[in-house]
Amino acid sequence: MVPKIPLAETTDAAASLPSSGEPGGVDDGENLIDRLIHLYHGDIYRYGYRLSGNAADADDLTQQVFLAAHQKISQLRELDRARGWLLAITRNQFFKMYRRRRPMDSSSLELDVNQVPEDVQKDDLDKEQLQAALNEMPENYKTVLLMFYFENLSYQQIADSLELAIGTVMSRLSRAKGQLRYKLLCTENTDSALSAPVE
Amino acid sequence: MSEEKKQVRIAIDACRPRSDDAEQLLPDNRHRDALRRSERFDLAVATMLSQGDVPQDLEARLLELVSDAPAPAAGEPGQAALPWSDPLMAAVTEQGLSSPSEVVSDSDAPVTLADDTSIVPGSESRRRFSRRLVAATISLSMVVLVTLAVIWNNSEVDDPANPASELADRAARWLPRLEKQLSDTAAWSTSIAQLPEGYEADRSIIPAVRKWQAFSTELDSQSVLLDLSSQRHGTAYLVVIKTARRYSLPAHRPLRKLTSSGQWSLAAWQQGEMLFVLVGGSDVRSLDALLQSPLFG
Repeated sequence: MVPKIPLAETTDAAASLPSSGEPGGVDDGENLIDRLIHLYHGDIYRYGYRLSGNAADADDLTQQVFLAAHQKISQLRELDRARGWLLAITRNQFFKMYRRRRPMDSSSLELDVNQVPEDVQKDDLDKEQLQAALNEMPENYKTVLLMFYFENLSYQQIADSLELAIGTVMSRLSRAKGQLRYKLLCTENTDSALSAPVE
Repeated sequence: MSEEKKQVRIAIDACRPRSDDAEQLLPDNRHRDALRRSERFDLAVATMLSQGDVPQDLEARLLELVSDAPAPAAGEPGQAALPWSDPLMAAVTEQGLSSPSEVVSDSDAPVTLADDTSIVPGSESRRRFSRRLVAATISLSMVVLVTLAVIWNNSEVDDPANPASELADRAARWLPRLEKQLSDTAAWSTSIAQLPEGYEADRSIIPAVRKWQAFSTELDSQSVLLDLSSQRHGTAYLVVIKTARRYSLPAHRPLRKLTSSGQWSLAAWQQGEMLFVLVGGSDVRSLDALLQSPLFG
């Protein structure tokens, strides 16, 4: 049995970094970027993969992110937020590089949270189905979904970041999660009781 | 679906697991079951999203990439400090980042009052006064800058490691979540072999690790919680954190007491990048007794 991993803390995970004035601190940009790479290259690559849907783009994206971070390292003043900073760069870089690719919305079927089985575990979900569901999702849904799950941002923070109304974010998040639940839990072999879409 | 149900569903979906979102959006307990289902699902999805293979050579390639890249543009002139918000990210991702070579040279610098030759004839004394004023202003600015730099440097030198009290504050905030996670039987793993590499208990710990679970902290999202409880030693847990953040802590027993809260007593020690926070229940007589003495002690 593998324990479940909680979402990152609201205060942002990270901070495995020296603070200002320490060796490798803000004023030691070269050392700092090396540490950021060491600590977060996995997170950034995985986020890039979830956003873009393929390994090659995730690789390119990761390189772009750390190059941009390297150039702007002097602006990194709150080291505790380094991970969040890098994830936000990843998201923005993704929009810049790939936003023209708009995946088709293959299905708008959703599954209500009340129809989710009592005790869903990680092993109950199919990782390929998960990525396929993300790839098929409209970009505006996928964005809020990944900001919620991967960046662990609240609906308010997402609204602030995307400059959207809170109601819009909550609605998109709910629909995105409904679609995700449907695609992950209502497979052909799933019990028919689960197969009833909400809308 | 009625409008009310739809609003409830939207609110449930907006709640992050193990956060206080639900307290704001769904203050009554009627939707506890749906919230619990949603939380389970969200945790499963979040876990799966955060996993996945990363190319083995990626870190090395990235290090090489940045070492070959032009030096960072440090403090571009005229660039205002940017807050932590999307404008910062927009600035980071904008095209054509300024390089040092793009910095305006002295010869291109804006003409100062002292260089102004268009002043009316017969105003030599006024020009001298202006030059003195400019010189005095520059001197004063230099003094202020040097003073600030000295103060800044001193504050850094005086604080090579973070005070243990900061860790105590952090650890006290972990306790409510820790208590919640302790009772979550599904979260524990008895497979010690599956502990993330490097997150094993310190060798000086005497009780055996019975089980473990992930316990994300703001210091390390991958940190783990180990259950060291036994009949002989009492109720004890160890939070193992990997962090480059240094605290004023010993590297071995006697441990630095952090705080006591309710039934829990907390103490910590740090060895390199590994930070250990020991959480003992009221049945533990001495946290130090859970560790062996250092060999050289």
